[in-house]
Amino acid sequence: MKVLFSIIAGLTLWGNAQATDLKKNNIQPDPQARLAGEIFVFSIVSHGSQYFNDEWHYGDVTLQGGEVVENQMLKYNGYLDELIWLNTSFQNIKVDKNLVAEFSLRDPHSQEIMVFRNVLLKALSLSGSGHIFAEQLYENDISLMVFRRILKTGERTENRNKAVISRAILKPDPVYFILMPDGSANILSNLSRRSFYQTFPDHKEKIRSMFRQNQLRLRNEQDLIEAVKIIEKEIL
Amino acid sequence: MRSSIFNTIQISFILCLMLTQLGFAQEGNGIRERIFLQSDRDIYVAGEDLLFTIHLFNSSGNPLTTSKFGYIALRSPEQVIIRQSIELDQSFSHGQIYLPDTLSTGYYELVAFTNWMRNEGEDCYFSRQLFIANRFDKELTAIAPENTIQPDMEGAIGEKRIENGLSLRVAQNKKTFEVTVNQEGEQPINASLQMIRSKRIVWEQNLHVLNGKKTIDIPASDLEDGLVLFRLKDNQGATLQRWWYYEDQASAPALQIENEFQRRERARLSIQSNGIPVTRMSVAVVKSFGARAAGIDLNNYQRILRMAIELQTEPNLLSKEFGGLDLSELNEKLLALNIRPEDIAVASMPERKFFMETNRQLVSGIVTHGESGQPAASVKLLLNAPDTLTNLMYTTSESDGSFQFILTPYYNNKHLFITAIPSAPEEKTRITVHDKFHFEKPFRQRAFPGLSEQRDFIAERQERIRIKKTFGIAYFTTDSTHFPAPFPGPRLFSQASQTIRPENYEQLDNLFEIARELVGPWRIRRSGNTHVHTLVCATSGAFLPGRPMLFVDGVMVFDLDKFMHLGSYQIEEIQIHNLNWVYGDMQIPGIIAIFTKTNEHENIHYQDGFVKEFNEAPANPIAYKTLVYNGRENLENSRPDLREVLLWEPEATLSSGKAELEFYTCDLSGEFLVVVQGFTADNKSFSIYQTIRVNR
Repeated sequence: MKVLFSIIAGLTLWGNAQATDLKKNNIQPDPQARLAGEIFVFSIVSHGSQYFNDEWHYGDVTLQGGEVVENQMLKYNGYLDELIWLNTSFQNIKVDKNLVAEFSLRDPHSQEIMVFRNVLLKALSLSGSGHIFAEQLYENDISLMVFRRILKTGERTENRNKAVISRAILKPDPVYFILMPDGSANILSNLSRRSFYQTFPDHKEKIRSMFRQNQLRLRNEQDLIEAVKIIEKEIL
Repeated sequence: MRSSIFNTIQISFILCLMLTQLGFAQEGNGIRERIFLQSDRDIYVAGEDLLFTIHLFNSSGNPLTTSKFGYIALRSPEQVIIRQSIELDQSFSHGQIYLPDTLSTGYYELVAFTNWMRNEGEDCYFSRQLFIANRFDKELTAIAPENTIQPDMEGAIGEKRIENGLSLRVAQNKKTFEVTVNQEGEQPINASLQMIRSKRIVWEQNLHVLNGKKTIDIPASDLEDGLVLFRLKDNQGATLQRWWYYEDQASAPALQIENEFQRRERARLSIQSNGIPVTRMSVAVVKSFGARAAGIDLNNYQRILRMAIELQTEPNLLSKEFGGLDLSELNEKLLALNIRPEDIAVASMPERKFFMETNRQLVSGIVTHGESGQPAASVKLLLNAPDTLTNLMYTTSESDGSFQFILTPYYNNKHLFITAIPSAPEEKTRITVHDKFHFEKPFRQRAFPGLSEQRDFIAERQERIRIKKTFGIAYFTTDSTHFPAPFPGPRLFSQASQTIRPENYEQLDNLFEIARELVGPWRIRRSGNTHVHTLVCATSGAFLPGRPMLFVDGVMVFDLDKFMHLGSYQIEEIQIHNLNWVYGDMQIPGIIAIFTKTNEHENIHYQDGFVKEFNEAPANPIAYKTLVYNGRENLENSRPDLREVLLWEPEATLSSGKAELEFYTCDLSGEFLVVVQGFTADNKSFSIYQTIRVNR
């Protein structure tokens, strides 16, 4: 009996779900939000990539008004903190950052979707505008964000075809920060328990005890997310 | 057990088929919408406010495929007088229309529709007839004697019943339906009694009738709400008798209020749900006169809509016959409905011409070739609005020349400048924007029962309006909770590479001098009788290839010569964005944006391929000011209180299944009508009325 019910319910749901897609295609005009930006010709001879994602990833860009430009080929340049878009003429475009509220990148292999938000954080801004693109790792009452910056850590000279060239050494240097409900940001100095104690000195003992209780060791970003969840639950 | 499973499958299967038939699981073009508008009254005096609630019915039941905007027009037989758009929140909204003082006495029509409904033509628009009297018209000659206005019976449904000595009668008890077959002749009848919905037999029983009558009980649980056909068939399959029957098991909440009040007295009313939660409810207390003159209410309309779906016809046609009837009156009248299920053809949806405004309003139109008048395909159309920011949207015309722009709230109350860029420079095009309020069919006045008896009341109301105007009494305020924040426009760039304010420098007489002296990257030169210009790239220092885009007050212009006369004293600011810029698929060799002190954009006049339209914002809901009398001083206040609407609460809420509302009576005596309308969680509408009396 239950099986029969589930078959009937399933068929009905399938029919409706399919109908919804069809309806959407037939009743609304194509979206008209557009990306704006400058043709991007910047290049740097380097060891290490200037991009967070070397391959083009498909993703959506949400503009400041909430309109979404869907399914574009995108890269995030962590060295310049800029969103790069490959348009239909195969030009690289540096998207006007101030017009973007957020964008997503869909990993073609894992299908994981990473969301980057345009955040006002003067302490980390490279451009002077105060705005940075930061990936959102966790969002609830408080948010855990990471600024996926790529830094030039040095230079190396090489002989190539009898010419000496200088090659920048680029390395990812992510900066994690917590956005509080009031909009303030707390930067975590590194991936350690101590950075949480420094960020929330008034709750140091409680955080210490909660981390112990949960046997939490901060080794990767997933652990960091768990730590933020604990803090959100126990402190806020 | 096996039988129970079979029944379950059968019912579920029938339900699925029914949903398909109703358009629930069809492709996008199969979605149908109908709108219902409830005004506070049907008889007004010019200079009054008309209050309304609006409900949208959508066959998909899916918010993603439901219109978010409705349109309301007030028209006379000659012209459209008021055009208003309104944003719907979960298929509902409310608002107010001021009826101008200058309206002449006569019959008017309120028309409501969505952009999607335009695909099915004006016959499906909701229409409500009003009578509006001019404040100074004492003769009221426009009130036509009722027999001179012929009711529009076109498409009315009703035929004689089969006369063979057999009759069907359905009576509803709480848990069962008694279907009685009466036989007047002496011949015994062997027949089959069927219950049919959506052309399918959902219940059937053989019966033998001899000398008199036979009564069969059908459990109420077997009969869903809506229109159903009881049919008696003989052994050869011939129909002996039929009765369309409407079932509507009540789930309306209960209303409680005292019957009599004194002037300026506090009144309380309570509404208690009837076990089924109330999802939406509006409450109004209005002067009885004219409140239900034209009849149809929300509950009536939902019934008619369900009947229309079952009979595959237009609710407007049915409402002429079945509007304003209570359930028993409706079922009595349905005795005369003699449509055979096999005659009901599934109405096909016309080809889609207009899109659904599910999230944003649309402006649509057609581009044609200037000379031949044939549709022009693949023409790029630009949209700008005058602003202190450089904004741009564009779209491309379809193969039939049609185009549409998706308008964000940024465009509210702004002029839209739409320009066509044809594929060849010498090609001339013409843009026609579709007017949503253009009606092909004229308004033909219908019968307005009992209007001629209301002359005295109308005259009394005219006097009241005069007093209100004298005292400057208004009862409405804009609902600040619905006041939207400014919406970001579709900006072409966020920050210009260079900004110059010419007033900070020596006065210069024209753009040529300004470019040469103040704007380094902007090069203007003469070429024959015209001027041409280019920009030097901010990053490479080379000339950008092609002509830069030129904007004046946020509006894109093509002819630099027309603006060469602009000097320092006319220009507020010049923004130069001299970068190799891309917007969507447009390659832009730099942008020059001139913002003037003298609104130079108003002087832009193109002949071909250009159109300017004003885009009025959707109306904001209004709040009704409640008067409170809480002391002797207030009671003795000599300012007259002539409110005919004592309470207007379009979005009343119930907490724990109960709502308590209070209001104060006014100085007017007589009967007032308490009207409670809404929906319960099982998506059934209800309309409850109670009359109260205010004594002097």
